[in-house]
Amino acid sequence: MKSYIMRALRDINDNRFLNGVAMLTVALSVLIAGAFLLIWTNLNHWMTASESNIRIMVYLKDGSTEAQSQDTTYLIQGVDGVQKVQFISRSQALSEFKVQLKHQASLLDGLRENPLPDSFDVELKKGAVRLNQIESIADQITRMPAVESVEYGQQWMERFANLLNLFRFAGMILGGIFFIASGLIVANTARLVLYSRRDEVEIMRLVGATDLFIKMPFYIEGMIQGAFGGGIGLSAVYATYMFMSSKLTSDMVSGFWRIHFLSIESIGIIIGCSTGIGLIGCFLSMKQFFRN
Amino acid sequence: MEDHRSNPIVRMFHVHKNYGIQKSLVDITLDIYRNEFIIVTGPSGAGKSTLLKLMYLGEPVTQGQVIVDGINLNRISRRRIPYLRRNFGIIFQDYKLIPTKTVFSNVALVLEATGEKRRLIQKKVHSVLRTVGMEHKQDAFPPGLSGGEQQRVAVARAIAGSPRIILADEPTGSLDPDSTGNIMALLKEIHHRGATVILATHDRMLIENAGGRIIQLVQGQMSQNDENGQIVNTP
Ligand SMILES: Nc1ncnc2c1ncn2[C@@H]1O[C@H](COP(=O)(O)OP(=O)(O)OP(=O)(O)O)[C@@H](O)[C@H]1O
Ligand SMILES: [Mg+2]
Repeated sequence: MKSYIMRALRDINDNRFLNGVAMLTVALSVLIAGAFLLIWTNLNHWMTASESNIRIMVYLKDGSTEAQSQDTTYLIQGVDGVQKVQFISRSQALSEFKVQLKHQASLLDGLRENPLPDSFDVELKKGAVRLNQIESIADQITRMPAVESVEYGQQWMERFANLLNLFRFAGMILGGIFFIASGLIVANTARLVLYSRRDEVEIMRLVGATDLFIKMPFYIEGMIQGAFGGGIGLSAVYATYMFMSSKLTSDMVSGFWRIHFLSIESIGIIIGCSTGIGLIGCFLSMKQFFRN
Repeated sequence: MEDHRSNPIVRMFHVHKNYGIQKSLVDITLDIYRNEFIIVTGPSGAGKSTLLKLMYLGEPVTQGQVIVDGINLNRISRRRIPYLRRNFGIIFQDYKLIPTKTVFSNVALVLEATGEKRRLIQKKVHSVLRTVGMEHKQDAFPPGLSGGEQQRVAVARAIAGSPRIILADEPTGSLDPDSTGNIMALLKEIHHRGATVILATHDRMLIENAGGRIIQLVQGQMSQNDENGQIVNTP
């Protein structure tokens, strides 16, 4: 095994240019796939965070009695996925509104009547809820007799989710195309190297070397190309990430916007994929070369 | 020697070899016995190299059967070919050294391919290079060697794996008389140690000194120096 690796390293050194090109294409595909994955993970992260923070505002019909609002409290508490229900009376709502308006609060003095309805602030169970569950919870609440309407920022959530899916789709397609391209380039590199050394390969066969013995260094070469290319690509993603996150955190105060780097698992998968690409690329050209 | 005769290591039955329309071997039937020292001779283009190539599947036969150590080469699986070839130590007429590898690596390759241990490879390579008088050039690359030096490296590689059959295709073609004598003495010694030696040459001197059965090829047709195909001049 050690001698196979030595032979592979010697080969890479002998064919620096070809190997360099192959590694760079792998790096480029990993850069693109990695960048998409990084953005997607962060958006997804952010979205999950928003979902777990989500609240549903429930407005009661005008002129609801205290008994009706009491019943509704129980009903809402009975809905699966609801953590907490807090009743906010119309007068309470108005005074809170005034506090929020601060200096402009005098604007409200002209009102003869409180325009705000009684409402409930419904807090959902953390983590357990996803977008479609929120919808069904909101639906159930809307159907309750005393409820006028329900509000939870559904539209932007849905749009955001759609956007996220689209983004993931685009990332997968682009990443896929680049991975295929780099696989072909790795294959081509192996083919050129093999071709330039066909006499050597032929001699090895004549003196009794098995195909495996001849192919092994090429496979190792392909794997090294893939793994190194992947490493270079990920380093580029990391460098971009460091740059971006230093910009972002200084510009934005909210910790909510903190961006995260790819998880260890994702890094492992990416390196694994690029190594696999190197191997497959090699395998293809070997198959062609050794067919005769 | 009698028991060897009942047990040929290479057999050819009505073998024909064509390259396109060129008929290089015509109806060759031949048994080569274990531990024989056999000489294949004939003018240039007679088919000597081709005859040897058929034995290790350097070329496929066009017609007929070649059997090596009981294995019919027409029916051998691709996977078994490397193992077939390990029976042979081949001194190629054109040396076939790898130009980008050192003399040492060229010789070591045969042993590496069979999975020998590193320490043993070192020892064996040094030993065979010393035998052919090339140990001082072990780090040189073949293109930097003279024809005779390359040929001696090729001899070293052929004997490194202690093969059972030596195929020597014009192994002294580029050598001076002294070196030729050394290589011939070496082949004889390997023969005495039990190997079968098949030597292709048109060098009269070698033929006269070798003392083994002589196969004569002319334009791809074979005639032995004894009409019964009997071994003469047994060493
Ligand atoms: N690969 C090939 N393609 C076409 N013709 C070939 C090939 N190899 C050999 N021949 C032809 O087959 C015939 C026998 O060639 P071979 O090399 O066996 O001769 P030889 O007896 O070894 O000659 P020499 O003494 O010059 O080495 C020649 O006419 C040669 O031109
Ligand atoms: Mg010849």
